[in-house]
Amino acid sequence: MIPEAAVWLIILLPLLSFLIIGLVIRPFFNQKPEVAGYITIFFIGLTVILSIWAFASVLDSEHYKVDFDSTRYGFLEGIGFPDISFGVMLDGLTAIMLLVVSFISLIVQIYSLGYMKGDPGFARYYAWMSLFTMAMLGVVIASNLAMIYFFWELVGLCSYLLIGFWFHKPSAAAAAKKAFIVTRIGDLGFLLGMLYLYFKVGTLDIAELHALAIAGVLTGSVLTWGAIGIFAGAVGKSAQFPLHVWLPDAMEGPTPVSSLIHAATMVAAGVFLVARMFPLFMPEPGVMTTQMYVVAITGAFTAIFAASMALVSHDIKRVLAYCTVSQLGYMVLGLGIGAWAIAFFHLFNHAFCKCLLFQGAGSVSHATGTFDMRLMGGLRKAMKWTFFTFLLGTISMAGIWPLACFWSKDAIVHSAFVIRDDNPLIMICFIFGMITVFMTAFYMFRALFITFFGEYKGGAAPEHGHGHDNGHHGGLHESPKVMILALVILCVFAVGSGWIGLIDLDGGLENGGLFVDMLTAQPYETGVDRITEGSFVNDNLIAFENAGLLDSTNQVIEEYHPPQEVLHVGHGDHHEEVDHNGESSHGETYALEFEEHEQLGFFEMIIPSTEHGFPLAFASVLLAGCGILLAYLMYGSKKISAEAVGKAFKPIHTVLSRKYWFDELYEGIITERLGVNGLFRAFHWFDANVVDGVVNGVGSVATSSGKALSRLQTGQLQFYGLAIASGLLVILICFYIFT
Amino acid sequence: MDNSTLLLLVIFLPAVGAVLIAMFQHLPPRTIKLTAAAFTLLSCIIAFGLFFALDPSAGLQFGEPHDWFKIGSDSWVQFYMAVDGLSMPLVVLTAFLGFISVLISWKINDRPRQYFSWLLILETSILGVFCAQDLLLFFLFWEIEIIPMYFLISTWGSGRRDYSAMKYVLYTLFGSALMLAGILAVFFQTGTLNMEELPFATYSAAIPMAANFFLLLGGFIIKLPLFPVHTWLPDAHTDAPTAVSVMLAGALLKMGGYGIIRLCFSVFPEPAQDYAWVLAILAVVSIVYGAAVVFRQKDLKRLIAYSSVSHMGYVMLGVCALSTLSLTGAAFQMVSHGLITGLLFAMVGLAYGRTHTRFIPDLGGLARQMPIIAVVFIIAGLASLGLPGTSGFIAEFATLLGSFSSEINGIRLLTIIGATGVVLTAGYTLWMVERVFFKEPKERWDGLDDADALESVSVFSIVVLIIILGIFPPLLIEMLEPTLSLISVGS
Repeated sequence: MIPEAAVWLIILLPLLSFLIIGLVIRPFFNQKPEVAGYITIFFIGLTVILSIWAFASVLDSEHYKVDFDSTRYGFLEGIGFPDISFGVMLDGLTAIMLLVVSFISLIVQIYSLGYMKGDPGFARYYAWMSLFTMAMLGVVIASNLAMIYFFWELVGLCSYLLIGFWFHKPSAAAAAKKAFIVTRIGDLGFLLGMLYLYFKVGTLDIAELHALAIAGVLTGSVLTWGAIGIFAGAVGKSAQFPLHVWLPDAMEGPTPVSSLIHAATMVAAGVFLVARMFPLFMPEPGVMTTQMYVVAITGAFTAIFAASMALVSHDIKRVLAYCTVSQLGYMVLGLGIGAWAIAFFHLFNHAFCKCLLFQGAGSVSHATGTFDMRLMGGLRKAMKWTFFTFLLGTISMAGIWPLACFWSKDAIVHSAFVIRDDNPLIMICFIFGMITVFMTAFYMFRALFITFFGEYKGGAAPEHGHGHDNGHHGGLHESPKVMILALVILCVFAVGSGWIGLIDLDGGLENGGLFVDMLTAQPYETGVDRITEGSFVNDNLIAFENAGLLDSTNQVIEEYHPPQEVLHVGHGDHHEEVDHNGESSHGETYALEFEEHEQLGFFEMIIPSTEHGFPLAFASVLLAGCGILLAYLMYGSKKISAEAVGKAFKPIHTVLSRKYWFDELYEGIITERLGVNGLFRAFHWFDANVVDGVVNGVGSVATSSGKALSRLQTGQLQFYGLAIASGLLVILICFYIFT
Repeated sequence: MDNSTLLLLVIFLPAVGAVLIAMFQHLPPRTIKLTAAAFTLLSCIIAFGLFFALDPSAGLQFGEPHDWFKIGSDSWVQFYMAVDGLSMPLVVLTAFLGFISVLISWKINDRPRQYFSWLLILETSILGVFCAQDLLLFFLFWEIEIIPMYFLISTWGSGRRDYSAMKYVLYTLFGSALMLAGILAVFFQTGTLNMEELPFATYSAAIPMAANFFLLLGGFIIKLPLFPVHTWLPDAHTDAPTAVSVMLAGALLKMGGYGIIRLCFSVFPEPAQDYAWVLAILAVVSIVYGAAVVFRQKDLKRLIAYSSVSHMGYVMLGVCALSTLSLTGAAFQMVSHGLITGLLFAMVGLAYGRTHTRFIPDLGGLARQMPIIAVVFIIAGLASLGLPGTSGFIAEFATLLGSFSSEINGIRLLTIIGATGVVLTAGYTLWMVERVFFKEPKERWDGLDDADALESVSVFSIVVLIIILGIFPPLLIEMLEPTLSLISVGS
């Protein structure tokens, strides 16, 4: 069993790497920057080993949760609020996420050895990358919302520093700033959600919040607004509509940074946060809540919305970026319909796949010096390894059986299908999800065909400021071996990671099995133990009653019946049935009850079918196939002219390629017109002319009245005598009148 | 030496240094600077020592009241200098920044004798305000501070320095007049000037308590500064020499916050609770309005000055919320803001010393030419926008969390509005960093030096303190909390 200190080491090792590079290597050994790379790889390698250890320990423990005798660092101690403390939480969710983050990060560091070679900021790059990894791992192990927020903001900082890595490029500096500020708008929601929860229940400890939500103590509008606040943070970090605008611009950073941001850190943090706080969204398994609808609709809309912009983009990294936003939309949709284990399964598969694709794009630009696909073409001959791995990644991302992303994406769509009945909102989400399947396949293969097929169009000179200056002009070439190594390792996972999710820890095979088992063991089952033992809740009964949260906590707990079976939405099980019980009691809420799932035969599992007997998986693969076919006709064989299609749908094309004018809306209209040049300008005018004007006015009145009075000082005795005499007269008159 | 002597040393060592420097006419500038540095360093070291010797839960320490002169029939003005958990951190902050401001003035060669004398007297007067426990003594130090400030701004300043210096003096004197009226009112009602006894004294009903409260408050909110009496600050900051800006932002503004907590909210809890919402509204206006005005600034120093208005709004908000956590957050914010904004002004000074312009559109791309200055400047900016790992985060987080959980009516809505300052701060800070340090380097700034060793050491030492407080906040929180919990409501 892993000791707590070792879990702390998981975040301390990358921090140490950051400190060594920042305080020793960068100032004193900047002549040998490659040392920084080796140090980072060494420490993150150790982190991977520790993460594996943590994973193994979690597998061994009861309820997939390792309990530590929490030695917590009281962060705001002294005020008598021990709940704001730093501690470690190690359960199934943490264990899987630790593996994903540390492993992807390791691969990215190895890849960067080749990609960043010769960049003058090499050591700085690895310093930020170490810090980035540490911050993300900190979010993952956190046991307290305040601690998540702490590392959450650090993740934002590192993305700022890395997106703006080539800060002398105006576009990079602007993109970095944009990423930070846009995500911070989401973080404001997160912060307010925390303030509200803390005000109402007096704790930010995650396990305690879980327990309170599951017990029904934390309920009603408190729960709704708290959860929506937290979700706002996730919307920012995971680039969901309407805060999606920063992610496509984040391409300005070095490509390995993009691959890390898009796979395992930053954008994954949002989905992770919602998964981590899931009982706040769905306190009773299977029962939809207001906050769940908000999440689901946001996700579904983002999925289709982002995919539409990917259809027309010419920059390969932008296509991938919109693809990420769209896939994150799927994950959020999965969370919103209660299939959180499946959503997390998709995060897992997507991480490898997207990391691979980005590194492939980086490899391509390493050869051609550009990310503009119109300048590429025909690369499959010169870059066999890159092509091969990119191809597999593309197939997987398009959701073709049996590659990794198929399993999870299909399961999410399927889950939406299962609960769609009598629920128009979820029905719309499902339709959006299906359309997005088609669009995903189309734009992914469009990128593949334009980049790797046809004739080479000559590339471009390396971008100014693009670190490496190794003369790409001498024809195409395959990338350095370290980069290929990273691609191949990732490729194995991009193809096969879905199968990991098929392993059921009970011994069988089931879609999302591992994830469902490991995730759903927490927190509902043990959360219930916590409540019945009453360790936390009982201690705080009085506090809650005072806070007006409940009339009698005991009553609530007695009424609470732990669910017999935790939620197994969308694991491809055709025995799922929709029950309408929830409707009668809750009106809008909708209950799902699942029978004990039986062990399925292999093919039944592969081809999940609906209750009507129609195999949904066929439909989605068929849709994807249509997308691929269309992409082939337009960009592969060129049977259909892409230009003609573009002309025929010119208005739509314009809307898409201008990204629905969101940048113009946010930057031009809201920030500049209404903000800086509108309201803020008015404030500034008010400050200078009214507030300060009054002050200066008072000053000048005093000065001028002083001047006026000073004229009376003529120095003529006669005048003074007259003044004295008239003064005396006035006094005498007053005296006479008043007495 | 016992601790009370040490406390007196902390306060008066700079003044002794000032007298020494002033007495000898023909000292070489280097000797003057070394003397100033030696005296302020010693004061700073002793202050740190006392910080760790203080027992935060034991009330006022390190000083006894001594009768000074008699007023009225049986009342004495006392010479009473002592510290508790609230004033100690501010003393350390002032002593530390006092030393740093001597170091960053190293390149001053225009009448250094006068300059360093005034600077050191300024430090003593601020330290005196934080330690005086007698109202008249408090007022004395409060007033002394105006004199060095006037000369420092009007002589070594830039731009419209005469206007700014005079504006500062008039504003402060206006506040002082109110404060003096308040002090007299308090004295005639209670017959005592001992600040320790004031909360427990009996007040005759002749003057409403609210009048006492607001008269005293008048002086403090100008110093803090709170909207709408903040306009002296951008002018004074912009035209003051670097070290004076550092002291002004770092230590002087805290006199306002300290006074509000120590004299207004502790002594008159009832009017404080009754009118907290009014002040909280002004605090939130300061936060949002101050931040909005920042976006329009093109002068780097003016920009940071307005951001100070916004940040000090959090102090007022936390105080008005009157919960232990919010008060602690507010006091933490005072220390944190002192370090962070002091550092920002120091960095502007370093950049200005090289480029000779603070006009933002003229700057740009400086990160290439002066990497050290850029790094520290960016760290300071990030700390100012409340990044975790820096003291700014703890201060903001504790203040907002405490304010939101407070019992005061309507404070939650105000906290939500105030929290939007978090986004605005990020916006203007990063925009400023982008315009000054990022983008293509400009040829006209080629060949400029980066910070030299002395400058690097002084600014990095501030960075270290900012990060220590950001990672080990209990260091400061445990110091502040016992004192502040006495005046909190409802917890």
